[in-house]
Formats: sequence, C-alpha cells, structure tokens
Amino acid sequence: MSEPLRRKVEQVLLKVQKPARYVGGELHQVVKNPDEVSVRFVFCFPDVYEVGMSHLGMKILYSSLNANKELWCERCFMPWTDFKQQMEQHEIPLYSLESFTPLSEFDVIGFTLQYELSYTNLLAMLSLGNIPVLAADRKGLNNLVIAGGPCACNPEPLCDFVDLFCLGEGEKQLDDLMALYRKAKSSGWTKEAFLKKASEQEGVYVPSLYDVTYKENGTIAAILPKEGAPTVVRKKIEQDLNQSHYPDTFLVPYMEIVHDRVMAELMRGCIRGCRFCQAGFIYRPLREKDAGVVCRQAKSLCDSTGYEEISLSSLSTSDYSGLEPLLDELLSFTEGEHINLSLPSLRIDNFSEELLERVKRVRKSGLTFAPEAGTQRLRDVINKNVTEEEVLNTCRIAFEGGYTSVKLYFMLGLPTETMEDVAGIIELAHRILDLYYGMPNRPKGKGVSISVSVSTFVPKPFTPFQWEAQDTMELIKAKQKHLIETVHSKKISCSWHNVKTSVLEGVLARGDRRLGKVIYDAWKKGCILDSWDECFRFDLWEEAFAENGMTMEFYASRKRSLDEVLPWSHLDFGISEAFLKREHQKAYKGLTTPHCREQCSGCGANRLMEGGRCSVY
Amino acid sequence: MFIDYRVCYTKTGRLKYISHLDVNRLMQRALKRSGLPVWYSEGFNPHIYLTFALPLALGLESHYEIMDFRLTAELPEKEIIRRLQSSLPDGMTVLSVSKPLYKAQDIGRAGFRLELYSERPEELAQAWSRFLEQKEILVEKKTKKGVRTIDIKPDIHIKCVKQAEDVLTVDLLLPAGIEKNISPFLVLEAFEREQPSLVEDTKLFKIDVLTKEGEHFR
Repeated sequence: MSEPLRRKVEQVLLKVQKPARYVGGELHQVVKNPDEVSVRFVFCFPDVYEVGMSHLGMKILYSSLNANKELWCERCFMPWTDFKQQMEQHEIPLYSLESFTPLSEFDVIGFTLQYELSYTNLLAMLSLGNIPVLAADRKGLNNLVIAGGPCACNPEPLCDFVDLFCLGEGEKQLDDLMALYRKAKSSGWTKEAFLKKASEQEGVYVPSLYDVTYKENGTIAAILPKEGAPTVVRKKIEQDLNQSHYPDTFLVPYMEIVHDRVMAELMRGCIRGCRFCQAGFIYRPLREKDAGVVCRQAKSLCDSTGYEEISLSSLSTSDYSGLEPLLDELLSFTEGEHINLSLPSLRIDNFSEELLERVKRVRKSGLTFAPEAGTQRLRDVINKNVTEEEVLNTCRIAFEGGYTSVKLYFMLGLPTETMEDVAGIIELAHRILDLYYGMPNRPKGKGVSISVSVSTFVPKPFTPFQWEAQDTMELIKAKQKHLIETVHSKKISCSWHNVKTSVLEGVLARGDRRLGKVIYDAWKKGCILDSWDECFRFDLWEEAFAENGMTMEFYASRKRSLDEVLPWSHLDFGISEAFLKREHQKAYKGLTTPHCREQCSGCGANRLMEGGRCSVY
Repeated sequence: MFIDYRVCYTKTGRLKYISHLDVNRLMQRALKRSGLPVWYSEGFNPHIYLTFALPLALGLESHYEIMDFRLTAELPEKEIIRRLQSSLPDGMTVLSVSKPLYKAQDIGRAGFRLELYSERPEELAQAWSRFLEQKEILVEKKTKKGVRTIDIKPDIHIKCVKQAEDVLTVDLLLPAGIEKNISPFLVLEAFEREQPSLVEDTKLFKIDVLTKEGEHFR
C-alpha cells in the first residue's frame, strides 16, 4: 500500500466529479500481501470505472487470476478528464485501486479491448502510469503490456504499443501465460526470450515476430513470421463451461455502475450466423452451461453481493436450450428474495407466450427486439432469418401480454441497402402500429410507443462482410434524412448514433499496422475517451491521418477483393475463410443459411474443440 | 407488520468519497446480505424501507450517522448489531441499534469537528480567533432560487477549540434539520477566503446530531 500516493490523491479527490471512481476499497476486492506473490498483474480497462466495472469478462478474469496464490491481480481504469488533469498537475501516477501502486511497478499490465474507440485510452493510461507507450521502448521483462478481448481479433493497429495479444478466451490461457512469466522472471530471461517462448502457447500472438510488407497500391503483400513464430495463431477457448472458472462473488461497487447486477452466463458462441455480427462468429463454437450450474452460480453471487437483480448473459438468450426450465428454477428462489430477473437479447422468431408469461413475472418495462433491417430482402442478405410475420406476431403477443412499449433495433448502411430498404424500417414500424390499433383486446389506458433505434453498420473482421465497403458519411446522413421523412406518426420515435464515430470505428476495426502512427499522433494531439461524444475530436483524427499521408477512406469505404491479404489473415478464430466467402456470396444472392441446430454450415469452429466435435450438430 | 429500528453508525476513511445515494444502495445490499428479516415496502416495486436522518455531504466523515429501517420480527439489539456489522465495509461501524425515540423533524442542530492542518499553527490559531470576532461572516449559499449571500455568524456555535502541534481542532454546532441547514464547508470556505493558503489540509467530521431541545438524537 502506497500511503504517500494515497494522501496525494486524497488532496485532489474532492475537486473532481465522482471521486468514488478512484479510491477502491469496495466489497470483495482482493488484497494480498505483495511479499507473498511473485507476479503483480494490473488489469486495465481502457474506459471509466463505471463502464469497466460492468464488464463480465473482467470479473471472471479478476477472480480466476487471483485464484492463483502466486499472483495478485489488481484493477485500473481510465480516469475522466477532470481527474486526469489533476493527476498531471500534481504528478500523480496512474495507480491500481487495490493498493495505490503506480502502474510502472507492475510486472504485467493487461488491457481488455472491448471496442475500437478505446484504443487511445490504452496509450493515455500507459503514459499516465509513466510507462513508455511504445513496446520497443520497454526493454525489460517488467511492465509487459498484454491485451485481449474481441478487438484483439484484429490487433494490428495496436502492434506498436502492445507486446503480446491473447486471442480467444482468457481463463486457462492466462494461467499458462502467467506460469511461463513466473518462470521467466525467476530465471532472469530477457523480454525477447520470454516473448519467443510465449508465442509457442496456443492463443498467444506476438506481433514483433511478424513482418508485414505492402504492395504499391497500399494493400498487404505478405505477413511473414520470423524466428520460428507460427505462421497462423489460433485462438484458445474454454472446452467445457461447466468446468470453467466462474467467480463465486463479484466486487460490489459503491457508486452506481452501468450494469449493477449479478450476471449469470448461459453460454458462449451463437448458433445464428447473422452476417453483420462479429460476436456471432468470433465466439464460436456454441458451448452451453448446464442449467443447474447457471442456477447455482447465480444463487451464490446473489447471496454474497446482496444484488437485487440477475441478468442472464449470452448473445441470444432465447436460443439457450433449457431456458424455460432454467427460468422456473431461478424464479423459485428469486421471487421470495425480491430479486429481479432480466432477460436481454431475446429473439423475435422464438418468443413464445410461455416465455412471455415468465418474463412478465419479472420485468415490467418495455420489450426490445432487433429486426436489424426494414425489408425481407435485406434481412435475407444479412441472414437475420426473421420474417415480417414473426415480427408482427411477436409484437401481438407482447401487446396481448399488456406491453405497450416496443423498442426496435435497426442498422443503416448494410451491404446492398437501397432507399427502399431504409423506408422499409419505418413502414415496418407503421405496420406494428396498425396491428396495435387493430387489436380489439389491446391494452387500454396507456398509449402505444414504438421507438426505432438505428445504428450505422460497420464491417468487421471474421464476418462474411469483412471485404465490404462501409457507407460514406454523406450516404449515411442522406439515409438518416430519408428515414426521418418517412415517419408519419407521433407514436414512433427515431434515434441514431453519431456517424463520425462509426467511421473511425470502421477504420480501426479493419486497420493494419501503419495505423499505429496515426493513433499515436491522434493521442498526442489530445484524443482520449473517443467513445464519449463530449470528448470525441474527429477533426484531430482527420489531422493525424493527413499528416501521415493516409486516408480514412482506404480503410473504411474501400471494397476489398476476396483474394486480398487482410491484416488479420495470420490469425485463426476457428472460422474458415472458405466459409466466410461462401456466406459472402450467398448474401449477394439473398440466400439465407439455417442456424447451427437445423443444419451445420461447416464454419470450421469445431476444430477448436478437443476431438474436433462441435456440441451443436 | 413491522418494527422500526434506528441504527447509529460511522462513515469514515475512503467512504467519505461515496455519495448519499451510494450509501442508500450500500445499505440495501448490506441488509440483504445480513440475512435480517427486513421489511419491504408494498406495491408495484417492493424495496427495502430505509430513511436517513441527515444526508451526509460528499467529503465529510461522520461518527454519528442515523438510519431507520424496519424488521418483520423483533430481535435482540445485540443480534441486529452483530449481523449488520458483519455485512458492512471497513469504515462503517455500528455504534448502536435501538427503537427510535425522536422524530426526524425534532432535529435542530448537528455537531461538526474541523481539523485544520498547517505548518504555522500559531498563526492559524490567531487567524481563527480573528475570523470568529468578525461582526458578520458572509457566505454565498446555493439554494433552489439561486445563489444568495447570507450571514452565518449567528449560526456558528463554537463548543471548543484545541491547538496541537500542527492541527487546530474546532468543534462547533450548526443548524440542521428540516428548516435550516448550514454546511461546515461553508464555514471553511469563508475562513479560507480570509486566509488563503494558511491551511494545508483539512478533515471534517460530523460528530453529533441534536434535537431542538439539545438532546442527542436517538
């Protein structure tokens, strides 16, 4: 515990908003004696406390890393601008919340990459921690910077800053990596020797062991491994979620965080294969947890935290094979103990009256569904596998069940989209409205409300749309304008996201190593907390691109040919390129692909399972 | 059916950085973990019934926090203290649990302790005496109607002043309750305006809650 640092921090804390972000000490935080551990690890979430503390992955890894007696894992978050300014003014280094230890005193600094717009925060946090931002400037084995999470599936834009990426799931993988680190530390290995050895472990990608060459047109010529590094790095997964580490308690924050509740994980992976959805591909294959295990874990978390809500966590809750029995089992203890159940991610096509009955017992707010596209043609292109009839039927069930508020998610800028598809979004909303007014038994009293939320489609790696051009800003704005012009009812409300952030997200998502310089310069110019509208400075990003002689268009709005070497071509997330190409071609023909339980489409993710057998088909 | 209980507890150390809303949430969860037979409000969205006598401002520590809650069964006070204490974080110590004696509207004043740290303690002590000898002490108070200048001199009731090596400790009473509240921060701000950069560090504590008649609020 660094008392002088703590006192220094306390002198400025009352000058900033939400000081509880910066003091730690929450219920169930893990405190160890630093003299009794051999590795000090700090888990960094590159966003503010209330966002990072809501993240299930961090809770799992904090618990699984700390289960190791030889290691102490602490937490660190990105400070908000007011505290960052105080830190700089008073020379307070960024520190861990558990022990107020400066970041520079840690052996391993681990970042989770949940969204592209958090990249500059990684640089800012290293710098605030007095750690050289560039990997090449960090010579020793200490201050090893590692990163994982979904964005690590194309980590290339961050190669200048991060020593090693963990692909896939972290529980077992980090155990193995930390065992190797301990050995390296006690035997006095160099950083290079450690990295080389680590690159032999499944899921570990060491970017400095690869050279990338470029063609004259700016595309990649080749990605060349050196010093015996593997040609392809495959992600690592947990084989059996029933055996996988899951925390028996969560840290309970004092201040309100975004998801302030118990999260019960149902499964990983998704059977659906919606062609726009990166999560639907990179987390494959589907692995379910037994209902009994889910229930036991949820109960233990409720008892030890005092939380009053459980949220079921998965990519598509209603696809969990034992959902109704699970709900009955959960309800058997939650109802008596005043605990609410929330069920996010329900699908439209298997939303039954039986399910609604159970949802109604626990949740009284509105229902949310995601048709994603306004016309059947476009829904087939993206393989959403939802028909208009199913949308209307689901809404009818919801209205009959007493709900009067429905929220619908859509995307603009999907491949092949026309203005008719855009208008189709609001037409669908109008038809739902007509359905409501046409119902003799509709809920009386409250007025109906349909809220349409429209995001901008961003093509992502490891999806069938990874070769696509993203719509330009002008086109998206025109589509948004068209959308709002087609609304003819006050019962329909429409909202959307900032287009500029989507453009930058698209650039970083499919970027290559040359973006490292741009990210560095943008950060130097003052870009941090880019996902926060009040901090986002698109103009500075534009400057950073221009000064490096690069354009955003090359990365965002350029259609790639199917034989182009993509920046992530040497990484293997189980999904075969042949499968993605098949799906890409089917999309253009408007052909759908059935979900995994109906028929296996040969995505290749079964190769990640021991014995090569997928649990679904 | 329920029985009212009143708990008096401390809020010290880093807990001074958590807001009143945070404390409310913390207590809900602590009561839930404690396994005590807590009473839930009835109606659409049942929740644990809690009320706080005087919400504590962010940045203040306290040795006299008061919260009322309800149980569905009568339990020995020692048992309630034991179970509640086992669910509370460091920095919160249960001082007592009893059936409420006074009502919240009986509160008239609160006692505070200011610890002012300085490397020039004598100068500080003299400055403090001069500060209190002023005819009036004008401060700007934010109210719902906007910022208003008021004289808080008549509201400050000094209980004792102690000077030690590097710290001046001042115990004082200020109006508190439903009619009028004066924050000790206002007093401190007024002093620091007169004597900028004399005080290097401060600690503020709530140490007492009194009824209008001057009894300890229980």
